[in-house]
Amino acid sequence: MATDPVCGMKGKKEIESEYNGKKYYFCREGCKAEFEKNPIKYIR
Amino acid sequence: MAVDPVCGMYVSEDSKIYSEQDGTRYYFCSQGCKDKFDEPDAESKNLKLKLMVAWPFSIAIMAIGYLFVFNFKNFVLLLLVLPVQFYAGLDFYRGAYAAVKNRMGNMDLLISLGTLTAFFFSLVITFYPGLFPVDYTYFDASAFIITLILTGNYIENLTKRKANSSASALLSLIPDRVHLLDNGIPRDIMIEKLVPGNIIQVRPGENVPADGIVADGSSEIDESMLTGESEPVLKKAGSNVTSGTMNINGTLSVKVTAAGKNSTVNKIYSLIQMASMGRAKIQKISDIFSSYFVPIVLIAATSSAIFWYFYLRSSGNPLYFIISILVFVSVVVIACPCAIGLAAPITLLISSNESSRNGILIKNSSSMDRLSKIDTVIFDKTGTITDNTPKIINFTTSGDRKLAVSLLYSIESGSNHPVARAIVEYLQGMNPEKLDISQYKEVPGIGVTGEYMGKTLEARRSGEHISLLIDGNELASLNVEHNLRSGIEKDIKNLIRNNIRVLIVTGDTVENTGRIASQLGIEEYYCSIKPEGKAEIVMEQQKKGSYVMFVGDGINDTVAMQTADVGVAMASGSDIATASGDIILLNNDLKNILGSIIIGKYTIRKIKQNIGWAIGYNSALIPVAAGVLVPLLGLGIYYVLPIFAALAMGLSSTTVVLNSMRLGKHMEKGIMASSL
Repeated sequence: MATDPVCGMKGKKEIESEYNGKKYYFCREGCKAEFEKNPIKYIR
Repeated sequence: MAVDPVCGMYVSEDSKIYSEQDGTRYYFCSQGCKDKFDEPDAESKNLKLKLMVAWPFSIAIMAIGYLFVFNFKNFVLLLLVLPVQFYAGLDFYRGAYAAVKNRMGNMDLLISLGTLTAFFFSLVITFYPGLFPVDYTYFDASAFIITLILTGNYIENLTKRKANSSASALLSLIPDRVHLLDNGIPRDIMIEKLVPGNIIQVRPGENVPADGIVADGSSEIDESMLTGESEPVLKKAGSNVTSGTMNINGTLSVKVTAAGKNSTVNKIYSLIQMASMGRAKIQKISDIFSSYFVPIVLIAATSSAIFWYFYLRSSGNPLYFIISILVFVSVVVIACPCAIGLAAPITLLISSNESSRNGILIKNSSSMDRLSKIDTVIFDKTGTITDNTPKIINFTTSGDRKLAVSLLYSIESGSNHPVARAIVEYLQGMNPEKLDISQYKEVPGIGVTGEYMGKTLEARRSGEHISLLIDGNELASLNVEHNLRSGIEKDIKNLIRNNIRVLIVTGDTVENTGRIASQLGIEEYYCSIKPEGKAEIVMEQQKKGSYVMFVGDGINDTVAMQTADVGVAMASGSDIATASGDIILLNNDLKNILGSIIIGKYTIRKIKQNIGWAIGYNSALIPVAAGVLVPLLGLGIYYVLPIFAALAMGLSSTTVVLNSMRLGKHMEKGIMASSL
């Protein structure tokens, strides 16, 4: 189960973003945009 | 996937059980959860009524079952169990039906399976005596499963309501009836009927029922319930008033700008309530556990029942079928997905209630994990560590003074910035004229711009100096002087003493910042920084491994606050509901910065405890129900195990709630211990 790192819900395969060579999945575009503003905030 | 805001379980967005509030759709795992969300009071009344039926009948069934022997006893027991089974237990079946329809598993499904299995098995024994080697029924088990679990739900409901008392206290600030001014004549109407644009009368001693602007009259208003500020504030024509505040001594006519769900008090209430919707990172483990929980329990219940069926049959025990039924019932009843689902949401709800009592409004409870790890606090200077309302000094104008005063007044009235507000208030004493400014724009960190009669008007802020320019020519200038907030020295010392790095990042000059930093014992500071630069500094610190909290006024520092692990805004009045940031400090009290970090640490600790407890409970008791203790205690335990299972299950989620309730006291002690 890939968890959306922003909101903690289940991520969808089609909404993804890559940071430092690792893929992250999101429940909606809004979470992806939020993640991309400052990935470090959500992956530590 | 949506999250049930009541129990925290995952729910498919195809679910038919949902409720809409403020344009947001909330999905629920069961009808019971929806009812709890829609009408928490009705839920408590409904439970009370059902318990009043369930307890007397269950006790009667137990007493008759064990104490008396007479003909047709099982038929009498059947009559007695019907009200419990099909009235008191009705909501469980509704929830189970909805779960099956949505192809989901929930607690109701497990309880329904357990109690209905016991009921129908007993029904067969009643109508076909002799089919099994026993003639006693298990109506007592099916009745007690329902009664005990309902009792657990009732206790949980009462405790939750108590936990929610500070949020509910907010709503009680709004009166039921308001005095609507109909062509100047007051007429009482219900608060629900109030709409923006209405003019209402607020009399001395009454609470302001909605957000609005004073149209007529003047009075002192006590805003302490929202801001913590004990000093009353004078309101006159043109001033904003906020719902929930108290009118002390004058009669006001107020033009309503936001009423009902859109009023500040209601929005704050919703924010506190929605805390339980946040997903803390730590919940990942409970999410994994609960998503597989119901199927695993059903497999465990069926396989252990099958095991005992064949094992006892092969060893010649005539009770093999009965025991295997009781094993199934015990396992499905003892399993408690709710305790796992509740572990985090209830803690977040209690934490947000306790915090709001202390003037800390947690807008985004998903930031709780990050909050618990904060080791660096970056303060904006103006309006954060210095007083929100600056003093205006050295006001000078060149040329037409009246025009300069009116232009500065008109352009600054459009801004919410504390400096702009102070200037507007200062100029009000000079009888300014409100002029028409077009193309109005606020540029964070620079000031405000607009057009007046085709000319470019600018009110530029540079540190503590503000100048009004028209087509580049200076019309007026002034300086603002900021005093340190009272008690800030102690608050900063407390942070440093608790090993938290403190930095100042500001748009102000090096002289002003250096002076204030040395006064406060802060060694690191960045000055002349634009708003986007503040966010870059936050990111730099994060890259070095720090968990950063940014404390600002919530207007100019939005980007830095969003970038930081936790953004804290200082806000008051109607800005509370709209200010950005994960946390809002209602009473501008900076001691709450350390307070909120401690709240984060305690909340996460409590969630971990609850999750550990809930997983431990299920992992330990499901095997007991499945029969691991039979070699020690014998098969006789199954005479009491189904009822024991219901008792344990009823108490397990209550235990989670009660454990979370202790959070308030723990947080208070923690805050006391870390402060000087």
